[in-house]
Amino acid sequence: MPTKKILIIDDDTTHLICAKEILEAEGHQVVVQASPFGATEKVMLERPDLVLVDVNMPALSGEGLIGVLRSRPQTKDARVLLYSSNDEDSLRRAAVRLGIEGYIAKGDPDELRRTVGRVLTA
Amino acid sequence: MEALALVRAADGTSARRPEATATSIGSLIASDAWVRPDEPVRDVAERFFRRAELDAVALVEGGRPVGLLTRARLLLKLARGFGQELYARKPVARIADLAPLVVPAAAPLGEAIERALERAVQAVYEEVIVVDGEGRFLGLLPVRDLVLHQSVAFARGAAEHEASMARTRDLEKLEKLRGQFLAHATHELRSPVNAIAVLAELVRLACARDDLGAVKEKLPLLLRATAGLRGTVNNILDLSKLEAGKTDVALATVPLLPLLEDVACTTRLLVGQKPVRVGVEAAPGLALETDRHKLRQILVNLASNAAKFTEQGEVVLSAAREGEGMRLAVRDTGAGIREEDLGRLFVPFGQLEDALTKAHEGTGLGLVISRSLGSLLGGRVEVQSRLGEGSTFTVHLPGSPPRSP
Repeated sequence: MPTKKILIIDDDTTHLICAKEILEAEGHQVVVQASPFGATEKVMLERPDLVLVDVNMPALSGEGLIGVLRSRPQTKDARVLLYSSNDEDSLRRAAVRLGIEGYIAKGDPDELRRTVGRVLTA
Repeated sequence: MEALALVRAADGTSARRPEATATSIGSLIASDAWVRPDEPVRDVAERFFRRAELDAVALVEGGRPVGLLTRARLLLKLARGFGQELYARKPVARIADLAPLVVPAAAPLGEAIERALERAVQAVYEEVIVVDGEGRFLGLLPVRDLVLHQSVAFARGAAEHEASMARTRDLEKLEKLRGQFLAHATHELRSPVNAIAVLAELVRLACARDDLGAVKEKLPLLLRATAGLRGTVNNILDLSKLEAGKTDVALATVPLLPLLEDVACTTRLLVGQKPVRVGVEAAPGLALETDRHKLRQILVNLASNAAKFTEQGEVVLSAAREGEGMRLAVRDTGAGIREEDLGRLFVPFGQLEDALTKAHEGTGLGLVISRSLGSLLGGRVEVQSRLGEGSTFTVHLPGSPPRSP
C-alpha cells in the first residue's frame, strides 16, 4: 500500500504530537496544523488522503471548518473524520449532520489506528 | 381565610359557628343578632344604641329570616321628620327591608359575592343573611368581609401563582446551567484523560524499541496532563461541596501581610521568566477574622489568573481597611477583559474562549469557586477591567464574618 498522507487539525499540541507519532508508527505520512486558520489552504496544498479535525477549537469550530471545506470545489471531496474528546453520541450525530465519513474518539490509540486503517483502505 | 373565620360575639347571643369548608360563607358569619318582627322600633333602636358594634339585625320569625334592619336604615328612618315619634311604638317590620338577600351557608363564596353586588347600589353593602339547609336563620355576614376575604384569597392565589412561575423559571434556568456545566466539565475532564491515555501508549511504544530519549520526551507532557487533570477534579469536587453547603469555615485572626507575601511567592513561580513584577501592598499589623485557608485559596486563584494573562508589567496584591471590613485586591497589567465578557467570568466554564486563554490550562471553575468562597466568608468578589489595560479583582470581606450556618 503506498504511503498515505494524513492531515491532523487540532489546537491542542499535546494531542497533535501524540496522534502524529502513533500514525507515523503505522507507516503513514502525517502533516499537522495547530490552527483552524490556514487549514483550508493546507488541505488544498497537501491534498491529504484523510483529514482528522478536532471539534473544540477557539474562533472556528471543527464543524465550521468542515463546512468551509465542503463548500470549496478543491476541498469538498477530502475525506474527513472528526477527532475529539467529546462524547461518542454527540460525535456520531455531528458526523451524520456534516455528512462525513465518521469520527474517532480521542484517548484510545488502538481505535485511532483501526479506524484510520479502515478508512484508508476502503 | 383563617383570620376572617373568627366569629365576633354579638349582643349576648351565643355565637354559633357552623361547619364550613374553606370556600363556603358559613365560616365567615360575623354575628347572629336577630329580633322578632313585631318588636317595637324603640326597643330595637335601644339595642343599636347600646352596642356600637352592632351593624344590623335580622328579623326572624319561627326560626326563619323575614327581614333585615341595618343601623344605617334605622337612623335614616328615625332622623327624618318626626321619625322617633312616628315609629317608636311600631313593629320593627315597618321600617325593615323585608326582601333581604338570603344565602345558604353552604353556598360558594363567589356566588354570595356576586349576588350581593348585583343589588341596587345603596344596598350593596348591606349584610347578607345566612340560612342553613332548611332555611333557618344562622347569622349575618357583612359584605365588606366577603369582598375583603375574596380579594385576599385572590391576591394570595395570584401571589402564589407568580411565586410558582418564578420558581419554575428558576428551576429551568438552573437545569440549563447544570446541563452546560456538565457538558463543559465532561470535556474538561476528558481532555487530559485522553491525553494521558495516548501519552502512556507512546511511552509504551518507546520502551518497546528501547528508545529512552523518546520516553524522556513524553514524560513531562504526561506529568503536565496529570497535574491538569488533578486540578480539574479538585476544582469540580470543591465546587460540588460548596454548592451542597457542606464546606465549613474555620475562623481565626489572620495577619494579612504575611498571607499576601505567601501568595506572592507562589505567583512569582507562575510568572516564571516573563518580565512581570509581583508586588505586595499592605500595612504591617493589618489583620482580619476569617478562614485563612479559604481566603488563601481565593487569592491564589485570582493571582494565578493574573500571572497567566499578564505578559509584562506587574501583578500587585493589596489589602486595606474598608469601613468595618477589609478590601483585598489583585491587579494586573495583563490582557484585560472586554466589558461584555465580564458577566461570563463567574459562570462555570464561561472562561473567555479566545486563543490566548485557550492556551492556558484551566477549568474555568477557579473564579466560580472564588466567588462561592467569597460568599461563604460573608463577602463578595468583584472585577473591574479594560481590554488591553489589565484587570483588578477585589475581595470585599466584613470585619466580623457570619457564623457557620
